[in-house]
Amino acid sequence: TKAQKISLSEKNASLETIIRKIRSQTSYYFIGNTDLIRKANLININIKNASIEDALNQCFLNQPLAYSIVDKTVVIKTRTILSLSEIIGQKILIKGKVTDENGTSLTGASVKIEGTAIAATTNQNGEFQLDVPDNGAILLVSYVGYEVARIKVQEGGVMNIRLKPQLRDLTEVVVIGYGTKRKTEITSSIASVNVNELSANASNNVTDALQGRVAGVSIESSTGAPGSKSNITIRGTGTLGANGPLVVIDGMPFGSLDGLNPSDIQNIEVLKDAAAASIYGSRAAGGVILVTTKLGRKNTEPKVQFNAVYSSQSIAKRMDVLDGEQWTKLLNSVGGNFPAYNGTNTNWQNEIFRNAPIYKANADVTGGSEHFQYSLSGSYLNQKGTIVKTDFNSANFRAKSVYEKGRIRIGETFIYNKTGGRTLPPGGDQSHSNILSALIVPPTVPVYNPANQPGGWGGVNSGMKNLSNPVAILNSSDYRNNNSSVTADVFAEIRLIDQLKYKINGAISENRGFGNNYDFAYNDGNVILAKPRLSQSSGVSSSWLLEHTLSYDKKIGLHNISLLAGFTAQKDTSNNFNANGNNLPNGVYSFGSEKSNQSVGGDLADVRRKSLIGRVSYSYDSRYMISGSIRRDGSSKFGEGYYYGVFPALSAGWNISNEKFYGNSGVSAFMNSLKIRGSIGLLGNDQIPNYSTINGISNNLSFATNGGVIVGSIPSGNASPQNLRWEESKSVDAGLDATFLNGKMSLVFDWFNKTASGVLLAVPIPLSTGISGTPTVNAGTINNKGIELALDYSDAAGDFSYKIGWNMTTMRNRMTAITIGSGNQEFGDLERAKVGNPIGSFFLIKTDGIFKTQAEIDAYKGSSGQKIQPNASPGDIKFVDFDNNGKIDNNDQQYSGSPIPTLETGIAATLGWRNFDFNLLVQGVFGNKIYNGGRIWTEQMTAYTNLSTSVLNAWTPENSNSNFPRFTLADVNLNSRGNSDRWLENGAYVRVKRLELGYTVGEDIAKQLNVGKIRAYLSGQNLFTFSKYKGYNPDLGNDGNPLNRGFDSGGYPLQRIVSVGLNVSF
Amino acid sequence: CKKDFLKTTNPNKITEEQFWKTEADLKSAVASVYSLLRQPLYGYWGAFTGIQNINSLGDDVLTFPGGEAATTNIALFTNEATNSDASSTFSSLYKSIYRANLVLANADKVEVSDDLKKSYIAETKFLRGLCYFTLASNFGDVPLIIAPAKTADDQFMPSKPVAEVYAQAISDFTDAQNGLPTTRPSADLGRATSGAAIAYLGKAYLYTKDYQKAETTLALLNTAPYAYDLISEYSENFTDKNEFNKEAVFQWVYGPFGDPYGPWGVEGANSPMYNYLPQLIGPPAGGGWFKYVPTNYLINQFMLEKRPAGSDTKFDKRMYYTLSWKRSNFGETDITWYGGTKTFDDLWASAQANISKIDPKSLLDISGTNQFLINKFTNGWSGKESADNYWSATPSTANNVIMRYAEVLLMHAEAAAQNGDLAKAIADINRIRVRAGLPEKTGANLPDLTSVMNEISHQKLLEMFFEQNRWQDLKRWYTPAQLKVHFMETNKQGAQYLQPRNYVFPIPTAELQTNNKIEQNPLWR
Repeated sequence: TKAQKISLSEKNASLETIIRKIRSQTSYYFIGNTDLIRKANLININIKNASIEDALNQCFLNQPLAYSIVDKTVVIKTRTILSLSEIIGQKILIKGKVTDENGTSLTGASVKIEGTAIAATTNQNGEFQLDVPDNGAILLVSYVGYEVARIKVQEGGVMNIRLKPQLRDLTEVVVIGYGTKRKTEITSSIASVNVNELSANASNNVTDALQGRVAGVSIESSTGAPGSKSNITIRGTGTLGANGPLVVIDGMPFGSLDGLNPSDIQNIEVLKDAAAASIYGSRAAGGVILVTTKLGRKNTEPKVQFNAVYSSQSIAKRMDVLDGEQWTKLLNSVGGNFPAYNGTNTNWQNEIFRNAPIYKANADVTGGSEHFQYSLSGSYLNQKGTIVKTDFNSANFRAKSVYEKGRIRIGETFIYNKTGGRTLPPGGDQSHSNILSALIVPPTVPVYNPANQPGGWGGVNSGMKNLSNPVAILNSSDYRNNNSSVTADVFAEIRLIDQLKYKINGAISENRGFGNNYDFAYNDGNVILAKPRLSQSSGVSSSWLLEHTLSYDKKIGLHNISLLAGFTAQKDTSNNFNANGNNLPNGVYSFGSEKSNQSVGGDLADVRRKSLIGRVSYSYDSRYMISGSIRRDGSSKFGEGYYYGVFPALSAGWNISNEKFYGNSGVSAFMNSLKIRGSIGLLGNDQIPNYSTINGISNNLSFATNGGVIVGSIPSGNASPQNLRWEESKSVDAGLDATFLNGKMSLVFDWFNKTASGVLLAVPIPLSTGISGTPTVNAGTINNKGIELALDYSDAAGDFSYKIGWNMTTMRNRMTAITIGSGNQEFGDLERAKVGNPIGSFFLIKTDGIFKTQAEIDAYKGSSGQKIQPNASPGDIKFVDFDNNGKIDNNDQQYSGSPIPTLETGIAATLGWRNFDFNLLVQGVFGNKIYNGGRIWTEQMTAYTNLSTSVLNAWTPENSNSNFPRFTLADVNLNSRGNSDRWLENGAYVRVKRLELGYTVGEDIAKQLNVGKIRAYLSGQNLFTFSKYKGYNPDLGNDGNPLNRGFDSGGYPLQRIVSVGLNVSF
Repeated sequence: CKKDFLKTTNPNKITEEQFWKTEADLKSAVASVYSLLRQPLYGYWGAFTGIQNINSLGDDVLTFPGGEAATTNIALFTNEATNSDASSTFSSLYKSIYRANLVLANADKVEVSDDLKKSYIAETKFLRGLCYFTLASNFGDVPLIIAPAKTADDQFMPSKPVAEVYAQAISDFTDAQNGLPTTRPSADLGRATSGAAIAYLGKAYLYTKDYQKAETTLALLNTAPYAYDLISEYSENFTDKNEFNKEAVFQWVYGPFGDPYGPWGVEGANSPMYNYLPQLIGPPAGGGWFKYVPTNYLINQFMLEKRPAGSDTKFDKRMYYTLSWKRSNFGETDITWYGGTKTFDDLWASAQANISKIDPKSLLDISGTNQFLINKFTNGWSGKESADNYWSATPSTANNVIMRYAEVLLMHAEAAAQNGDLAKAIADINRIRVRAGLPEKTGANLPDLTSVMNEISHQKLLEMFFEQNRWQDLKRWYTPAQLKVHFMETNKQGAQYLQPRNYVFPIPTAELQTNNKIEQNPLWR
């Protein structure tokens, strides 16, 4: 940016007045202690079309203050040295070197003598030399993204100047939908995540790296399976359908965070409120995540970075289950007729869990010339699963470049991602996952038994029904998925006149997947698969996007106007095919040889969207900002006449700290900047199944006669009503951004209230209608409100620099209305969507301890005197008769808690000391409940399965203080009932999510090795979890269905990861 | 972009507008009504739900605790509205009703001859009648839906009194009787005939205590054009040796179709159509899950009457197929099962673990020679090892005959007896007795209604064991209080929990939560 001309004519003006005038005429900002500025002498000045330096030189001529200009910021400080005019004539030569916080040299850093025009730029090695007036001179060293360093000149030797990353850069630009905006002028709620903070190198996926970092963004890891995805919820669940945010990668709205290498990411912006997100209209109800991938800097030499990590993963926890001797003794004592313990004592958990490595490497090259910037990267990940016979591998390639000259700017992003791996097969018996099987298969069952052919797997004994040998399943079921995806985006931008720009953006994406599920012949005593079977699936999905936008930016005096108008169209198609075959000959791995027992299936989809977008932003003097946007979206998912939805939003902000009165107030010395902002807007959600409004024919409802199968068909009748429309989410946000202590501390606060109406519910209709499936209907209202707080503090003392960030989110989720039927409908069973309660609330019969005596059972009576639990015996559980009808039944299921945390928080700390750096991320959630579905199987005591060791403490007349119910296979009191809160547990946890210690090799050594920088690090993920939860892992997340959240059905446990890594850059 | 850029059609399915054109459409729509009823695992005639549930309630078997909670709870009379088995029965019946209603509402659109159309409509009404009869006899008051829902409001229907539900079944069976053929060509065996409609119409009259109509209706099956008769070999009603025989009035056809390993309860291109019952009741030594054991009461009933001296067997012939036991305990020659691989001692040893779960132990006396297992419906006869395991290479394909002429005879006997015609009743009973190798009874042996009814009850218990009849008969013949006493006397497990409400299943929770017009059955409120 060029200096703008200044005209001033003032008499006896305060420095503050002058600053305000200069600010109104230029885009410069001022930083300085207000007290200090008030100490300034009054100023007389009369200049016309002067440069800022000239103007400031006049103003500061007789002041006890000095100034310096860094980029577009004027920094005002106390003058501690003689002013320039007094020292002319004495000069000394100094030499120095500028490095970043890790000691890497910074090329192109600006070095300037305070209060003078004497300046230099660092060379390729970060070195500079400069003639300075004298020993007392102050060097101002600046570099984009780093705090300005103010250092006293030292004579002799090389000055080593280490810059600290800037916490809040006033000129920081934030990516918003279809554009960028200066952070100070943002009026909506956008969280910007600098990926340098993410320890991207050690993270295997982006979502994992984001967890706990951003207020209002809740991330739950779905399972610990290698390559598994995480679920992201922004500002609460507002729908019963798909709730994930729209991910836009370099302008491509069909991105997925899963296919991205964390090291490729420059920046992530999370658009949280309607004002920020509504430009994305129909798909923004779950928020929007904008990802900008890395790009080289202008005028920099090619820089190569290489990162390699080796990690070891383990399952940190084991469930305590009975050993062979305990099991035989216990079960035979309650009527089992099992052979005496013969020493077979299989530890099934140890049989399926293992310590597993991850190998990860990535490299990138970035650089740029005056007109061309580029970045190329590649990565490879190979992760073995912590459950045997599972693994995942991923390879990525990305290229991005921008060419800019004159009126034209063109660029592209290309991402290729290929993944593969062996997945965890479903449990062999359809009721238990392999993890659950490992807990409930009795330890007396051997892993192998040569008598059970084919396969020779150990199998359950008589009396144990429906229990699969998990080792047999894991070895015999070879389930693999291979996927590849290509996404590419090309844009061209032409500056037509003035600041009117036309941009055309085209993107395509294609995903191909192939699944190959092969079951070897096996016999585990439960299932005898005599001949192998094969199931294959293949799919291609592709999308294209075309966007035309016109943008216009104009500054007239203090008025700043930005306009945006555009048209977008998108088409997504998919074509899937699957085939199954049984009875393959052993050793045959394709369908080729066996023509019978085969079946095929497939489906097609074609979804189209077209939209108009518009936005107007206006700001006055960087004090008052207002912005309005609108999007009209059409989607083919809806029926004719209901294609379109309109999504407007409005936001406004006030930079109070830019007001004159603020500068005059005492507050400004403490709180350097303060902005308040507010927004309101509408977001949409069109996430319903394709062709929901079209009534199709269901096939294969078949019947058999003596002549064979008659294929049945009927119009399925489960189509949604034709008048299905968008789900609308009205979102209101009020926020505050402030910085304190000369920018060392920053605060972002938001209050939000989001109401989704016309919520698309897959409405369970009465069984008596006989209609299969659940038609989608606009049927409910869901409210989410809460506050978000993010506080960052950074400082340095000597060699020690640190930065601490804390964020928290409180959340209140409520289903506020159901607008169909009687309005009293409830969705779900154990977890319900019910008016007045959070989505997915647990409705369970509450337990009230154990009956210790028959007298207690007899005394537990209903209003009409009947025994409430007539079937109970001492040692059975007392259930609460919630509806007070004198008996325990499902009407006694009452609200027992919610799976949605009411408070989520994270603390991230980065410490640097000399060559060491230390990263810590602690993350916690509070106020939620988890239904431990796995514990039912290990504690119900109604079948001959293995059991938790806690059953050893079961109530007996001798052990009458136990709170664990009596052992009864018959269980007539239904102690094992699934709908009681016996299985509900506190889901709160605090986790040391990441701990990392890095060491950067001294630059002199690095230089001898002919590299730019070497950093080695040791990192731990999920090291410690503090939780009362009895399952493997309280962070069990959700499968995207809000009515399944917090339900632990025995998934792949999350692993603890310890990594060593090496970064090298050239 | 083109103006109609957003207009799409579903490329995966033909839509309703393209359906209801040809006879093939109609035939395939009627097949879809059958589909869920003949499902081998779920629903009223599903091995995993209805067959287990209804049979477990009788005085003839005990259920081992510790299996699926839903099944055990029904067996012990501790089930609630949340019970998933009962819910499966309820919902699959209503799904078939919905499909039947669609057929009946749209049949007129189809280009097909009037005769054929009439026959399809009659077939559909028979199936809808069967659904309503089953709902009435198991759930009592339920919603009565006889037309497809047109608006969302039509989807919410209150319960109607059980009498109206039976009336609908009777009306549907009557229409079916008039429109269905008396016989089917070979390839169509397994589809409803007028004989099936008459048998169920008679059963509905009997259940509603309209004995006059029951008798006259059931009597139709004894004369031309019907040629039903008992087959000589009792066991062939339950194996695949002599299917579609003259005793089979109506049956669900199972065969080697679909993927036997496929997921349960799914209607799909490759869904299994095997018979899964052996898996559930066979002893572990035969590959089964062995969930039931015969009561001492059943054994005693079988042994009450020995065959005359000189007969080829000591006991009732039916007992030799219905049960397995160590023959030498009673002076006969031991036999083996499962292709000669298993002796009774093998079967019994494998059964021990489950039998020991019976709680309290006093319910079942297994001392001395009191050791019996169920053989009926297992694959013990198949000549193959582990044949009860449906995951094995040879899952059962035996049809499930849900209406046998033997039942028609016993129902006719009951109706005739109630109408005072004891001689007719005794004649029917004697046909059953003779096949069982028992001597005929005379009017002198069975002089009054009570003695005839006792003999009907006794014969039906033995003849129809595990054929979903005993519980329905007990409910008709005993008040809840009387039945509780009978159950206590016969050591029926869960007898102490029996309440009047257990005579019906409650309306399932899933229905109560979604249907704001329905109320729980008064017995269950």
